[in-house]
Amino acid sequence: MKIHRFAFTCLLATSFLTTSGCEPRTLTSIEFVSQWGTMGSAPGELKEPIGVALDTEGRVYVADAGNSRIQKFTADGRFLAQWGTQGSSTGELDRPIHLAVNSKGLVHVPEYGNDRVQVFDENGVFQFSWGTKGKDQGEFDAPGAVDFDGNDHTLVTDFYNHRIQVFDENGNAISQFGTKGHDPGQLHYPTDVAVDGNGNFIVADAYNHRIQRFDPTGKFLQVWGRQGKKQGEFEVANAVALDAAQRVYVVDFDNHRVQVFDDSGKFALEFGSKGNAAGQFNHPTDIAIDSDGTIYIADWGNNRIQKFRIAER
Amino acid sequence: MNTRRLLVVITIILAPWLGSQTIAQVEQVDLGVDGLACPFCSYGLEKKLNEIKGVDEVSIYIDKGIASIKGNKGESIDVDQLDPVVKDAGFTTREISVVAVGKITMSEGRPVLLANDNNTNFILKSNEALEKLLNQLAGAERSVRVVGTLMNEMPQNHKGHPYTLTIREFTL
Repeated sequence: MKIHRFAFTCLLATSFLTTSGCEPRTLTSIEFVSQWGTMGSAPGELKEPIGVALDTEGRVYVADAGNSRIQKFTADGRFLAQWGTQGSSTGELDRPIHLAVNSKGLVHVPEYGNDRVQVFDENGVFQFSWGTKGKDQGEFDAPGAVDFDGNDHTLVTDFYNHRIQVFDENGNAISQFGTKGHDPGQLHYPTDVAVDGNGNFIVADAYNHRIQRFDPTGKFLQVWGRQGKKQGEFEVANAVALDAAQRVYVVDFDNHRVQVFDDSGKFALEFGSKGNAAGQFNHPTDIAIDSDGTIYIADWGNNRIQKFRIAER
Repeated sequence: MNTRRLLVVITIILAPWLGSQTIAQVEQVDLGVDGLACPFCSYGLEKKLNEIKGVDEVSIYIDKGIASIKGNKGESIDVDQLDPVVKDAGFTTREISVVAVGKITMSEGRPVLLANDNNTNFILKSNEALEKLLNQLAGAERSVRVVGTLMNEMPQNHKGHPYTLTIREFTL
């Protein structure tokens, strides 16, 4: 879930209004709210939930990878709908690994196994898809995540091709950037992308254990992080999202935590530790943040979704 | 069961079946792979292994660090593709366990399992007693089922050269 439009509005407002309600606020803590999900395949149960996204109504969509399906919940975790079965035909899913909902309410699902992005309406009715296996523009080798810019262009991380591809809202290829490597601007198995309030792309450069920011043309702007366990270090930085204040939240997979940074990449705080108690994680894989400061985490190894709230002053 | 006893049992079981033939194949491969805890990696390895010729089903056991591959019925898993695929997926192979069915023959004084139709044969390593049995089986034209461990590291440019398989289980 990316809230760049809200954030962009906020940025504009703060440029002209000092009493807009968008003034910078200090992040004090992240508070656990609730959780749902147990291991299983019945409606509402989860098996390896790897992706989480929100629509504009605050409903929660989960890429239930181990069950080859998408599930839809209310904001408090009540089951609403599901779709998808294992396969490669239209509407079937093979390792749905992430998902995102665009401004029109269309649910975009990248499939690792089928090298395509399928698009569904909010009830799971198939709309269209694109992508085949390959290395050329418009092709994928394990598409890992999707997000949208302010024009509803779709950004797709292309895991084994070490790049980000940009498509129009119909799935036509527009541009791409990224090559395999470890230098600034290069990528090593990218797993997620988010769009900040200025329209720049923030990439979870997972196996370089770092975050990189690019402008909309793919020009490198900023990098932070390295491999490790300290604050500001990562053991597989595999998902990224922004809150309304443009803080960057990074899911730190093998450290079983989420780290929060300001927009300059300076560490702010972290939450989570290894375990299965409330607020703990077992290999978290994705994060979605609503405009009201509610955070949802796909707690992959614990087969659950956890909900948190941002506390500010 | 000690080796001598195993030899006797196998020989007794073998007798009625001498002279029959089956199609040889690699039925199953279990790959020991490090670093499977990450789903982006394990799902990726699953995807790559599914693309190998002869593969029907891939199961990833994240907690054990094992990718288990089952072959299509009547088809052989192309063992030559395993190591390149694992490397392409960003992993290093720790161990390769193979279940192969084929006929025993002798080559340069060593028992060899003719395991499939694309020249992926296995030089069989075992203890002395079992090797005697394998020598007997070499002329028997009888299919055997072998579970064994491949050498830890695949040699470069392996195509056309036999793999060495250390036998763990052996049935007729």
